[in-house]
Amino acid sequence: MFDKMSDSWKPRIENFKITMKILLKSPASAIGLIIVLVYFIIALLDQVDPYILGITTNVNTLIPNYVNTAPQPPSWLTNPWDFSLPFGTTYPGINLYDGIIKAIRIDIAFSLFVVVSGAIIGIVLGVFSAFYGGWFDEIIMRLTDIFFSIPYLVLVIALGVFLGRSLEILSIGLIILWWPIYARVVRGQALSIKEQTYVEAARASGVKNSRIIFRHILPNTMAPIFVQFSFDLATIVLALATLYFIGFAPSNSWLPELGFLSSIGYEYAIVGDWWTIVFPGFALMIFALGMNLLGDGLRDALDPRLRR
Amino acid sequence: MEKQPLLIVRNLKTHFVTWKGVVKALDGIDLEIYPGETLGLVGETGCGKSVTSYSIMGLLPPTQGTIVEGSIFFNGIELTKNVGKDVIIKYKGKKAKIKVNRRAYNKTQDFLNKIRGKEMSMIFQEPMTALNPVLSIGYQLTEPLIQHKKYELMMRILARHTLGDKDFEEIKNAVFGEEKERLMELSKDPLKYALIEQIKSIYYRKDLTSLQKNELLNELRKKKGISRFHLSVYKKIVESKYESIFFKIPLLSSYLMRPLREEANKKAIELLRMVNIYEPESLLSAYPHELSGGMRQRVMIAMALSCDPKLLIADEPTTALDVTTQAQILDLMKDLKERTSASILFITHDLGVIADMADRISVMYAGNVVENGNKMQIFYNPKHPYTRGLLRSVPTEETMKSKLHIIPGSIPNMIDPPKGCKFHPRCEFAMDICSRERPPMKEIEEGHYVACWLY
Amino acid sequence: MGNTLIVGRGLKKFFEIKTGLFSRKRLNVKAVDGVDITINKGEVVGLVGESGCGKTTLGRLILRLIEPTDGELYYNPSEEILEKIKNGEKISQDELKKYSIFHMGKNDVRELRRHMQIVFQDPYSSLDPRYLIKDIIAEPLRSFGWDSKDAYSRVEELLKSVGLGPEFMNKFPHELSGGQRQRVAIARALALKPEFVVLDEPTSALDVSVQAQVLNLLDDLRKELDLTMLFISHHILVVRHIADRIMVMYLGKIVEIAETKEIFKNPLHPYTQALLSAVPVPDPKTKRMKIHLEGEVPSPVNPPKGCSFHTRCKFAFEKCGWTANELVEYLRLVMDPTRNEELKGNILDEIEIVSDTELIMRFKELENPGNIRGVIDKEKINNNIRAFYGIMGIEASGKEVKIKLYEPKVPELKNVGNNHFVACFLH
Ligand SMILES: Nc1ncnc2c1ncn2[C@@H]1O[C@H](COP(=O)(O)OP(=O)(O)OP(=O)(O)O)[C@@H](O)[C@H]1O
Ligand SMILES: Nc1ncnc2c1ncn2[C@@H]1O[C@H](COP(=O)(O)OP(=O)(O)O)[C@@H](O)[C@H]1O
Ligand code: SF4
Ligand code: SF4
Ligand SMILES: [Mg+2]
Ligand SMILES: [Mg+2]
Repeated sequence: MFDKMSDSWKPRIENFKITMKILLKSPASAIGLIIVLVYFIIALLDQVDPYILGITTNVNTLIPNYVNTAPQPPSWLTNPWDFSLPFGTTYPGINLYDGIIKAIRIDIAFSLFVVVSGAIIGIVLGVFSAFYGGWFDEIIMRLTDIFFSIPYLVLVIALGVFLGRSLEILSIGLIILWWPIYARVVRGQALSIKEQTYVEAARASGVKNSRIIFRHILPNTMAPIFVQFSFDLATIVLALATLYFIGFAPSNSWLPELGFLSSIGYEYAIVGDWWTIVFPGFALMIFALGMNLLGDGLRDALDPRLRR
Repeated sequence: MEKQPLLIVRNLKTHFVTWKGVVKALDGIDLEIYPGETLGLVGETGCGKSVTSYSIMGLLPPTQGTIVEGSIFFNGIELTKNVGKDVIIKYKGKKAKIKVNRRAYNKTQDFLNKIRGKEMSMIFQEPMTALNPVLSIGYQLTEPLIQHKKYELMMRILARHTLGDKDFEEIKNAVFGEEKERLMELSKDPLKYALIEQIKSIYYRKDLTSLQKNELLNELRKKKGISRFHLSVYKKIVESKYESIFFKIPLLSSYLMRPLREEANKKAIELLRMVNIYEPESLLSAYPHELSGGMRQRVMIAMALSCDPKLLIADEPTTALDVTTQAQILDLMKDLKERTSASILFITHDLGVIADMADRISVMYAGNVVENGNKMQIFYNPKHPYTRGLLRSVPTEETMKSKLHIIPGSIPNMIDPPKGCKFHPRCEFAMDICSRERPPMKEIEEGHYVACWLY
Repeated sequence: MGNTLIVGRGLKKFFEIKTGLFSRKRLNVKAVDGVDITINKGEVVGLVGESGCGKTTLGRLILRLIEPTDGELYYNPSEEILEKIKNGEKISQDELKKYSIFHMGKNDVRELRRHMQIVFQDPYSSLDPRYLIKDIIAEPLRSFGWDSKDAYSRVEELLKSVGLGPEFMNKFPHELSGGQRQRVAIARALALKPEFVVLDEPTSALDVSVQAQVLNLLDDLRKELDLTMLFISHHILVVRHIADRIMVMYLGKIVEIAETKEIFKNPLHPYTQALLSAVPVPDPKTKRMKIHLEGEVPSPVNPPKGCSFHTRCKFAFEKCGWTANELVEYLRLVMDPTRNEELKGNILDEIEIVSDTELIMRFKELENPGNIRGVIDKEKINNNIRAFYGIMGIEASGKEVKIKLYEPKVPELKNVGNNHFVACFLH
């Protein structure tokens, strides 16, 4: 029995290997993949045990040091062998290394939460509206039209103003805004898959509708979803950072967040404490870059034309 | 008298680089096409028929594959001078990479552009991919004429307006009397040739009575619709052959172009009529997706013929069509061959079609030509076991209700093809030597060549 | 039990299409337009016709993969029902619900899939690229409740019967060649041991040598499993190889049915003749005859009246269903006095189409009304303008000439003996 199982996994693993091979063939997407892996590993390690990464506390807030609030430069600038403060500190005495590591975890978690929830809602609505068509489809599509016409910053700010500025509210606002993209992508894809002969063949074999939707149509719409997914992970992190940066942070919190760190650092960077913005800013930028490189690579690797 | 072949292909090898390995799509093929003949190229999917035509036309996608060895001579000119210089496949152990030397590649393409679409043109397997979906049929037909055929277009106008009644009568009689030799002689004068072309297009119309044809001829002779100035400038240009200068002066050029555009339209309509499209005027403004498969293929043929090519490569021109439409297109191509005397490389996998169209036949298997000879030799005296198997696997009246002959197995993988004779794993006569050495081409009767160790 | 497996009467399927991006107008594509079909047990029936004539649609209709527009279809009908159909008696709603595939509930149709299966035209798109071969073939079994162990062992059996080894179980479709894929599709169709299989152009996407392999396989399976088949193809020589009886389809209608030998020896319908003559024979000595067709298949949105083949038929005559608008252009052409001197002095003003069967030519001047008939007859013969055959009468009054046409009638399938049916007024 076990033998049989491994037999049917072999071709799947083979398939996965081919995808990776195509993905890694281009240096850009290989770099993207490495960046993304590094970020995810950091986030994971921080989750499991922050001390592994040399972080001094494991609370979910930034720890200000009111004894010495002025930003201090990275320690290796004065003594090349001293890594006690690798990224320096920012106002008010926050250790940037601690802050950035935690921020990476929180940003990724937040972004994953938003994108996954949005994607699930969108995928389900999209595939059903493609399969059943008719008025259901019409309603869903008009809804997506409406959401597409609202600028996301405006909606999120409005929500925040009325419902309070908390991370939960923010994420709900973003989910509401993000599912329509997936609904559209999935619907478009599913409409063409629906016309494929193998779907009709399944029907001719007596397969029930629900199984056709979830086992034939959905899996075949996944390629563009993965691509969209990786772009969106970056976009949401950037969006959150933007909201923090423009000062629309959840009120009086010291939540570690890359945009928040950048926005604090911004004022000090102007007067010459460059590290206060360079490190959080780079952390943000490189993540977005990595995600986008990976997304582009995935688009190629999952293209069926390249897999013959 | 020995005729010189129009196209000679010698030991042509074309390879593609894929992530699975190097696909040896063509592994040393030889072909010859003589002036005025139709060479049929048959073989099953993936045996390299299309790659052959792309290689001859120089249309291989340079980042994927290239000719790695061998030569192609067209009309005495070598087309493969840059082989091994413009696109190079480099091996690193088993892995291969393809490198494009852009400068050399562009040079090759510039050189080929002088031949392609003028002396050699191609009809593609899938007409939809060769027509531009966002441009109207009219635009796609006239634009190349306006760009590359200004001289011919001016000749057409001049022919109508400057040739005297005597010449006109003479040409008309020659065309309507189908006097071939007379026409050949008259064609030597480019001015007269331009008129012959126009009169022919009236003569060959099937939808008109002779009375109406006469009327159209009279119409042709009415000298109107163009100014003296145009005519005299055109005459100067044509005589001096310095066309470029006049057409480079900004305002003058657009003034000079106007009648040419009209003429290009007329010529496009003639071409469409030639391929049996009955209301060509209305088709000019249509877009490719509005046409049926048969219509599209006709338009493709019209395009390919617009420059009077010496060689026409037709890559499965009827495979995507219905039998009835196919019959129409095949008859059309036969008619056109009579009229234009072009050589045709006719590619197909359909043995019925090839029996109908070809004079000589080359049979391909897995990147090699395994047998070639004239039509009768291939059909009635096939020698290569593959050719025989192929012919016997077609359902005919005799095989009704009985078993068909089967060639066991399937076509080999082209990355790692079998050694020796590539057909040996499937061949019922395979011998020891077959799996070791490649059989050479051998002439077994006049003009009939086979690559098989049995002979 | 009777010998008849499938009986269909008046099958119709119209597809609704939107005309333009913004227009609300809807048109009907008459893909299948009134087809009667009878298939006997153990028989292979061939269905041929040009692409777009409705072959696939008919095949899908028989399996009710698409919803019919009209008609009734019975699978394994009882003697009683057969008798009623034969006598043209009315069949009650209750009986329809119970026996007619088109009136059954969803679950009954699903149950029927055990007995009726289909193999699709394109082996490249009929297999889900994300499924392993074994799961593709097991799908019908699983959906009828087989557990995976039994299903997989049946799959192995099936693969063997279509000539593929067990090593194919764990492959993906993209690893297979066209011929192998088509074998997998055949294995899937046979998984539930159906009695009846529709084969929609099973070899059209394949090479000759692979086609031979698949045809032989079908032949074996048929004998082994006692299958009844509807074999669809546009290639009449392939159909001849396998079919006992052949139906020829044109624009949604069946125009001729006969035993295979009979249809090749004695094709009666002009369309069948044209189809036969167009097939290229792989023998340089037999020349293709030149009675192939002019023009292309008319659009099924608006098929010609009367016999829908009359626009392309070389033998079309009075009764074939000419309509007024088909004559207008020709009349304008021949009424020109410069073309026909007999009509000197007649100056045509306009032609009005009154109805399908009547039109009026208005003249500015009409000096020679008497010659019109003669000119039309002359042109009809000399230039083979077949539309003029449709003219029943010509009446001149004042400066108007009224032209009347025969009422268009649709030719019915008629038995001309020997179980040979043809829908043409010539027979
Ligand atoms: N761009 C490409 N990249 C890699 N391999 C290619 C490419 N084009 C063709 N090939 C390979 O070259 C071989 C010959 O292909 P070709 O298209 O000439 O076949 P063909 O004889 O024209 O078949 P068909 O009858 O299907 O048109 C095949 O094995 C094919 O997979
Ligand atoms: N789903 C559909 N929607 C609209 N028109 C269709 C659809 N399916 C088929 N048709 C039309 O119905 C006609 C018959 O099609 P089909 O049965 O596929 O022909 P065949 O199998 O004989 O080639 C064609 O004109 C085709 O365009
Ligand atoms: S060389 Fe050998 S294997 Fe090849 S075709 Fe001839 S007999 Fe067969
Ligand atoms: S009825 Fe017969 S003769 Fe008349 S058009 Fe139809 S096929 Fe031709
Ligand atoms: Mg090809
Ligand atoms: Mg079809």
